[in-house]
Amino acid sequence: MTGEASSGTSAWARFWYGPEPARNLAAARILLAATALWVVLSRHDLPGILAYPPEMWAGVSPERRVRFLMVFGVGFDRALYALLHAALLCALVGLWPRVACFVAGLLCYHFAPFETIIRTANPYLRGLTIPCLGLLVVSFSRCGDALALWPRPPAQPPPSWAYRWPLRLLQVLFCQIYLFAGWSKLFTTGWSWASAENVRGHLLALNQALVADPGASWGYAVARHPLACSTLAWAGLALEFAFPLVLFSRTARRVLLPAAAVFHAANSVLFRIFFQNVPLLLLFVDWDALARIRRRG
Amino acid sequence: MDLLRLGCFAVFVALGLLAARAGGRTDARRFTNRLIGYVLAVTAVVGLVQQESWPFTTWSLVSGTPARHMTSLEVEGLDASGRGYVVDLRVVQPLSPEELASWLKANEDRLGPSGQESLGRFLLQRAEEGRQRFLDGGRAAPNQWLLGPADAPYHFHDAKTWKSTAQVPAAPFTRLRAWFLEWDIDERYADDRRVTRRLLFEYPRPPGDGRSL
Repeated sequence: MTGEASSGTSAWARFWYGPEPARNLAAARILLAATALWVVLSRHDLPGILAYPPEMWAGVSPERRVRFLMVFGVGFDRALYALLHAALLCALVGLWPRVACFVAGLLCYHFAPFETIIRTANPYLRGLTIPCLGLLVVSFSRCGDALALWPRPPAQPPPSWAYRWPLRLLQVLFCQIYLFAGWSKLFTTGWSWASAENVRGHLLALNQALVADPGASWGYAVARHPLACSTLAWAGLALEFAFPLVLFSRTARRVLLPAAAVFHAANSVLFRIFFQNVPLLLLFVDWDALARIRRRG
Repeated sequence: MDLLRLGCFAVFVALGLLAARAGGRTDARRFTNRLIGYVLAVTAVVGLVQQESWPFTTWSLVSGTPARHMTSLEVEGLDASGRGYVVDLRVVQPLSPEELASWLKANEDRLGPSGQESLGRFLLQRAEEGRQRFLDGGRAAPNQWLLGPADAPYHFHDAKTWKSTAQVPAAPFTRLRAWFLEWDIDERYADDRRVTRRLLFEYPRPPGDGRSL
């Protein structure tokens, strides 16, 4: 092996297989389950959509139904939806956490598309995309070695690579939200996306469509100032492309995680766009270090 | 393509299960490397070419240019006296109002009288259930059944139309009209009243509407 290849291999190993405390992976499991449970508890009788007028289902092809296993009746799907609640609760408190996460991940795959299936098979901004993938990823790992009720976790397991790769994979998946959101703007529209006129148009369109009195909205207030629109666009693009740095740098985490929280708050107020996975920014917190500091304090 | 996408997800689950099974073995990293490599490859392709294979997805967010001509849905419930009230579209939850409006816009021409009848019946029933729930001191939005206002909002903030009981009739809704509100964003920016209302359908259909089912 050449020195270059060796260094490449070790960089891969350092990134994916460095020692990680069990507590951090367990915290990720809890965050994913809590976020998914919040969304699921906020979608009353999701399987009931199967009983909406048949005209609404006319455009959903049999292949698409098979893709998401939408082949059961309403009654059976209601039972599965109850099972999803139970599995998420078990994943949250750590009752057979690996099985619970696996079941919850699969059921998220089944149920998330219900919300959009009459229009699109891509329910990616409805809050269950990262939980679906994330719960499955943690179920493939030893996510129950800490912060679990049953089976009893080992007492203070040493940091291990076995806790690192699933956490890293979750973090990479989360960073892709920002990276590809930035990329999609350039892919679809090009650099002109960041023009003041374009951002102004989005502000007007979204506030007119979603606000009872758009004239009094913050979106309108910003839309009146081309410089503010331009600044907003460039700041957003910069955040989206810079966000993956949180994977490599503590300093980047200190800057970009709060910046992302502000970004989502601004999106909510100005563009009326809500991101249900904001709590998952906490996937980047070193919970074990915080616990140690607290114990010492 | 849908079955191919199902296959894409199935391979992810299979590789994950293999990695899980190899957990304690000396060659475990070989299996986790396969899983990681697969996820990185699929997400990179999906993200770069912007073709979804959910749950591997594009994360495209307001990436285009905004439409200059906008359309939104308004449903008007009428009581027995014929007085109309704007219905809070959250009554159709767990479907989001935005999804319903987008679907209706895309399928407006295909719906036909029987489709309008079926949709009208559904909307009237939902509007009436929502009215009763709201007047009973409950909430218009079914999604708030447990968490109340702390429920997870939809991606686009839905307008909360019903805020006081004065906005709903004491008597049941007996009829319903569905309208599209249409406007040009710049004209409406200059004057908020520059919105046109286009009737989509009425349920039950008024006498004299000779269209056959």
